[in-house]
Amino acid sequence: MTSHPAIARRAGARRTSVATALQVGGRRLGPSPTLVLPPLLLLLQGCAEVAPEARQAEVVSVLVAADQTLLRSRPALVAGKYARMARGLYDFFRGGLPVWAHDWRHDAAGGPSRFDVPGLLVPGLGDPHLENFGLLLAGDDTLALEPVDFDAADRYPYLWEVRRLLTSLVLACRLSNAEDPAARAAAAAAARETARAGAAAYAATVRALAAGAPRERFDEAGGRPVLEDLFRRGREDAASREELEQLTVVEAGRRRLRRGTPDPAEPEWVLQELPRHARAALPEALEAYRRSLAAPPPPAELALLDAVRELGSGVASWSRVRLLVLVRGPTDDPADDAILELKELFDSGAAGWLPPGVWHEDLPGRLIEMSRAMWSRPDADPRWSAGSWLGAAVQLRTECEANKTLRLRRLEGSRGTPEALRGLAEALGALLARVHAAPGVGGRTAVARIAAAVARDETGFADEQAAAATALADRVAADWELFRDALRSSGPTLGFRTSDPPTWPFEQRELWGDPPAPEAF
Amino acid sequence: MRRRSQALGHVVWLAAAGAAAAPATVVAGTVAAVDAPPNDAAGSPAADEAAGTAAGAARGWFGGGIDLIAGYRSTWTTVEDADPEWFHEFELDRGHGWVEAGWGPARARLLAEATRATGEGALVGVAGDSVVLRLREAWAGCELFGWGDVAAGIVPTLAQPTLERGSGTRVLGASAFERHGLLGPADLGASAALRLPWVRGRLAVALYDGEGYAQRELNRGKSWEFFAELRPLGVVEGLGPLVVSAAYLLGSQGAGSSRADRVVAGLAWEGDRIGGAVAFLWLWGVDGAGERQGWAIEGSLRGAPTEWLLLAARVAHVVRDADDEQNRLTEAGGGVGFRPLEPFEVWLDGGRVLAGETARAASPGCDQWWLAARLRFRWSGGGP
Repeated sequence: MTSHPAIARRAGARRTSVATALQVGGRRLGPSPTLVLPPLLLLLQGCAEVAPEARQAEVVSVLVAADQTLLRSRPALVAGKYARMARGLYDFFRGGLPVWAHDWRHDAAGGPSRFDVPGLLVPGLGDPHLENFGLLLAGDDTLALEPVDFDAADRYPYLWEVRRLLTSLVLACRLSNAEDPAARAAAAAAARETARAGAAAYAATVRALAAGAPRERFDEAGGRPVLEDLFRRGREDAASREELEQLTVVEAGRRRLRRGTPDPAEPEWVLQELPRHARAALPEALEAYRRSLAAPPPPAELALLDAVRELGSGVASWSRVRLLVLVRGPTDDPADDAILELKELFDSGAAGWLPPGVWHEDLPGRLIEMSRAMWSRPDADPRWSAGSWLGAAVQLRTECEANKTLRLRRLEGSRGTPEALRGLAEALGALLARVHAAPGVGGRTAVARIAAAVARDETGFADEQAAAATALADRVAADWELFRDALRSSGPTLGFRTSDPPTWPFEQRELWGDPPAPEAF
Repeated sequence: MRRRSQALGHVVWLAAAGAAAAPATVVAGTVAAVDAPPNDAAGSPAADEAAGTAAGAARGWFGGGIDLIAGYRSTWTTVEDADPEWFHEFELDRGHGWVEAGWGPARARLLAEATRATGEGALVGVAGDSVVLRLREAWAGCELFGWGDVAAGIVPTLAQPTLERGSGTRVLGASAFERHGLLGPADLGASAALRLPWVRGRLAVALYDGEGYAQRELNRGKSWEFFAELRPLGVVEGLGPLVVSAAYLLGSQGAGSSRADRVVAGLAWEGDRIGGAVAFLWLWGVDGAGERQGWAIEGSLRGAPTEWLLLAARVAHVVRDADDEQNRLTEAGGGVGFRPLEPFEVWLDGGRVLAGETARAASPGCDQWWLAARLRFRWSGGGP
């Protein structure tokens, strides 16, 4: 039995009123309340146990509800995800999309907007934050900045997207320059202005697109330090095929994927042997995947050479099954072998809203349709597609070092100044506008309606979104502290326990893998 | 009093069991006029004196039934150039089938309902997104010497089914309380009821997991429901259909044990040809946010001017955050029904949902008109 102040207050109020009722008129009408009520109240308190910190309970409930099926089947992987979310505020933001969605239902992420377009859903990433954008090496070997994560891609209110992106930028400013407190303070002081610049760029681009401007491909850094760095490193690694060096070894003239920990600095990132039954199902999945590509290569090019289970990658998708798959490439020469990443796909988490509530026939269809629509060209990554493997929906994409993702940790030095961050915000705001200009239902684009709403007061739009993003970033930071506290007090799965001993088949548990113990936070 | 089929004899018992009060014929007439009682019947399987006598007379018995509402529904968003502006679909608003049995004072019931395999917006469910059957009630219980009864399993909750029965407008859709997740119709737990024959009412208490019948238990907290249903004028001729009910729920929700307390009060006129109800609900804890408070009110009217003509109307106002007056939905709808041949009813209904600014931004498309055509089939047989 436990008790806490809130329930005690309520119990106390009840005690007073009942006791009074029993002694109306100075006559005792039954047994003494002091004898009867304490055991009763204790029983009620114990049974209706309520958390003392309401927001903490809310955050815990939402996260556990979102992860419930995974918590029942692979609790160790979810524990790893929670540990990672606890170690960093930005990681909490990345893994906290269910909390964002929950809050949206309550207050539309920061309250209703003057610029809302009621009844409008746009093709959106669902989780458009800094680290879900990056470079993709297209079919003609050119690099461009594109959205690179479609786990949550679906149809969303456009302000959901704008505010989530800007919130990520505010957090990025506050968390940039990890080793330089003075630079971090300067960036943090400019966080709201950075968000404002991102919103203004979004508004300007939407206006241009509505006026007929083409959906541009972002294949140049445009003098922005963060993007200059990204493109420079991407081009270098595209030439060197750095991923082959990092993830594979050549033995007796044959290339194979490494096992173990590829990077000692990241002990939770582990490559493990893939169960035989899982590997045996890969050729069929690869052939179906090959046929789904816009320009299918010859079957031999995707011949399976090796595959490993990858653990400890991503944040929101930490608990998903993820593989690295080594395929033959155009020739038998080990130098042109290629690596694919295979990842489990789940539902987007979008709430349906307008009928029919779902917009795709299945999960692979959702990913393929949304990515092709949002990219500047269908072959932004010519090997990015989706299919099924072992009965699960999966995404396959090129794993190469040229496909650099924007990273918070790179925002330091000349890349962490307020000016550099503002330049990044402008680029991402414009890119998000381009994403929202993708054709929706019936091939229509929504930018004209967004542009009309924003045009009422473009400055006011930027101000409102920057203010909302700043407040939302504060809320994320407060939630993170509550989350860490809950993890400490309730355990690695936030107190969730399966009621039955797990009886999953051995093959299934073997596939989920055996993650290393999470690092402390 | 209009003619009743033999099948409705069972309705009499079940309605009486739920109402636990009024003369069985009156209650049955009420519910048969517009709405189906069996699965809308109040919480515990409490029976009134008449039902108790009937059950005692037939020592062993077996029964069952079907309540099916199928329809075609068109919706139009009120936003110009929304995407899409309108939609239409065939739907199964209710698909209930139940069996029940008794032996002496013991009784048990299984009620299956049809539901979509996924939540809103999801693609992955059972065999795609099939309509599947799940258990909504599965309880065993016992009558206690004519004074009350107890039941355990997946039991109907106490307040929500009583309010729905009082409203008698289920054919227009589930009540706003239920659709918005403010009150649930069933849960895993146990309930006990005590009859109050002198006021033709009952007192009941139930203890549940608190997550509803569609969820596993996620926390150590259990939810109490204290309930009273009275017919204060039941002994006055002509005023028997007046029902007053009230409940207090002391609960928790979700893995984080968020507060989920509710106070609900209802007033209903469960007349034969004319009925109506109004219910008010106050919430401490909304949608897992324990500190948030909200409230809702719902009113309904129904009538059966002739044997074959039925009318129903309903208005609801739901405030999901008492601190944000724009986080609200107001719903108003009404319909006209025809009963060409029992157990069939054909309905045409329409209405409007008006959303506050916050609700409209958070749920695009919730502000809408609707028009629906529905076919209802109700049948039950057997029984004590």
